[in-house]
Amino acid sequence: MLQLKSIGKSFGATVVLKDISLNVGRGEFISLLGPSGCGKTTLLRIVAGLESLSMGRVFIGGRDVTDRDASQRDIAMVFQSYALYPHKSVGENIAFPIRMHAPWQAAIPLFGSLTPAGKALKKEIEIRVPKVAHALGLGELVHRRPAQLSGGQKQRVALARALVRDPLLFLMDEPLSNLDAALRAEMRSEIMELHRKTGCTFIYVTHDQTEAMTMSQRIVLLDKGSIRQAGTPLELYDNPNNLFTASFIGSPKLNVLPYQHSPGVVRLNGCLMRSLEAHETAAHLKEKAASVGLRAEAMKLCAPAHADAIHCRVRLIEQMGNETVVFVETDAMPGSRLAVRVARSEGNVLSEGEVLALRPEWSRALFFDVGGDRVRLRNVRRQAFLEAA
Amino acid sequence: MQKTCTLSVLKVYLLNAFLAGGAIVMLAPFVWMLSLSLKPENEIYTPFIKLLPEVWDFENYREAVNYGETGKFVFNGIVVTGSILLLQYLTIIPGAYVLARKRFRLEKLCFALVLAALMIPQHIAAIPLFMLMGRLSLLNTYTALILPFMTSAFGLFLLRQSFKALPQDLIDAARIDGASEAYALFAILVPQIFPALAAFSVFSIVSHWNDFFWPLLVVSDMELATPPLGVSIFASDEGGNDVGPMMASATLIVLPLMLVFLAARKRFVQGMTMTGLK
Repeated sequence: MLQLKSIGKSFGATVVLKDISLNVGRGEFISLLGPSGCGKTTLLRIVAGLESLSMGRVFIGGRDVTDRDASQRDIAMVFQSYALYPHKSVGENIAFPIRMHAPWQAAIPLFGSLTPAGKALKKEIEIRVPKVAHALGLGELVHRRPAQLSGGQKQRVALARALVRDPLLFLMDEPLSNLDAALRAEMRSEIMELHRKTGCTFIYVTHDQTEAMTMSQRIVLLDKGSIRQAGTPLELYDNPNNLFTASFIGSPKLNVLPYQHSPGVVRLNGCLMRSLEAHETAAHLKEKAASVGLRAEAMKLCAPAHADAIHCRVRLIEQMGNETVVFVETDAMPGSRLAVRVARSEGNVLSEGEVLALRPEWSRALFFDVGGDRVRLRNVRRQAFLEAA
Repeated sequence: MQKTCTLSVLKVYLLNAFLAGGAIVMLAPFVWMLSLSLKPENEIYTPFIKLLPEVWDFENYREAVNYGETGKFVFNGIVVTGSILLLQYLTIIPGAYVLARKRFRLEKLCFALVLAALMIPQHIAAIPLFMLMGRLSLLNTYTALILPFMTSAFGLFLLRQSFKALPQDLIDAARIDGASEAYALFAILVPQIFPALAAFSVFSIVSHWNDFFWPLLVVSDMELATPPLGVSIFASDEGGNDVGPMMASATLIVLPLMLVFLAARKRFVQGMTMTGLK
């Protein structure tokens, strides 16, 4: 449905996007995720035709639309600021895209509504606007002005305006970032529901990894203007290609520990690792690894005398209800904290300031080289097993 | 408590008295004009100041309309100020939009030229413009009255500031919804800057309705005279001033302006405060 071929964009000497290529299938829900300033919004605006590009081509629905104006691309977009037309009623806001795509005869001032096209347009508006307004729970609000609506209602109007036609692409630029947390969760499921019902192709820009993880079928992770990794949410979580992806995806944030390996000696966070598993894993590394990423659930509490024990001190305990996240500090990295997810029963007996021992679960460890690229294990069968886990 | 109350009430009274004084000073000529226009000729030249005439006399108005042809001048005024306003809308709305939103080469220079044009008094350009009109054989036409004012540096500046304050998303949304840029500009952006547009319209209408200087230069044919030029008939004709009809004529000419201002008053004040212009 959407094809990007080596898109590049620069403002003067500043490169904003470099060599972005991407294929989005029909009906797919894809997220463009990344920290602020990574170029995700610029990329969306290039797709929309609101921003010119320095190189590359954009195809929508199989047609090259690179040189086509935004109004000719047959797309819909929801803006972060909603961008409702303040002087038009909710109903007129929703009807606007239909009006703009009607034949020109219908737009003749005063007499347009008397032409056959004008009559057809009126009928179409009378059918489609109440339908989409109703679907989004805006039934009673169609006569109000945007200024009289709450943030959540404005958001719904913006969605309704985008949904009222059948566009080829449905673009959303951080649509939920102006809403409060409860409303955001509600709209999240509502948008997913809309995607399921309409079967439209959605492209969703966000800096919130939770939104991207929960809503999309595929995530495109951007950093500094290029794609770091693209894949399903779980692929990115379980099998990141690089340290950036691994740390950006997941909450609490990935724990990154320094790692040294020479024959017979494995050091993690400065501590000597003595277990067989630690040495076996180290021996299977394809290249030299400089750091190990361990998710909060890949670290376990253990006895102080354990072969792989890392000693640390509890700094903060976050009770989630079903589980507990413990933030600890080690002597090797004072000031930085590691997050460990423990069962509630385990967490209950802990207190701040307490000294603990942790061990890594080697089967879930992610290895990275000095440059931050993933270092994989040599044994294919074992690797497959690890990635399936 | 009681004391502060009386003090603040006193302050309000003083302030209102001050403003009322200012209003009286501003209104006095108008009141005098109205008063004179309603007096018969023998009451006009008296040694006493009397606001109300002893005999209410509408003869002056009859003369102003019949002999002075005030209706014709008002018509000319409406044609000229109306055409000027329309042309100004057509030039400054797109112009101001481009200055506010588009990045292009020489953009800064263009805006500097607009600012520079703001500072040049009309009278400096009058002679070259007059000669230009002469060369084009346009003297004594409506075109000569309208053409030099078809755009306005002040309007460009005012609307540019208003357009700059609008979010870019608004026009982007309209374009995505399928509107051309020009349609989005006139149907979506212009309604948002209505207060500024109303303020500008009042400025434009008042200044061109009241303009005496330029019509005096380019029009000698009384058929084309604008209102102030028309009033001057009574000042020079028959060797003396014909004060009564002149005042009646002036009253009739000011009337449409007052109506325009009253209609746009709220928007006008909004527009002025919005742009931070006083």
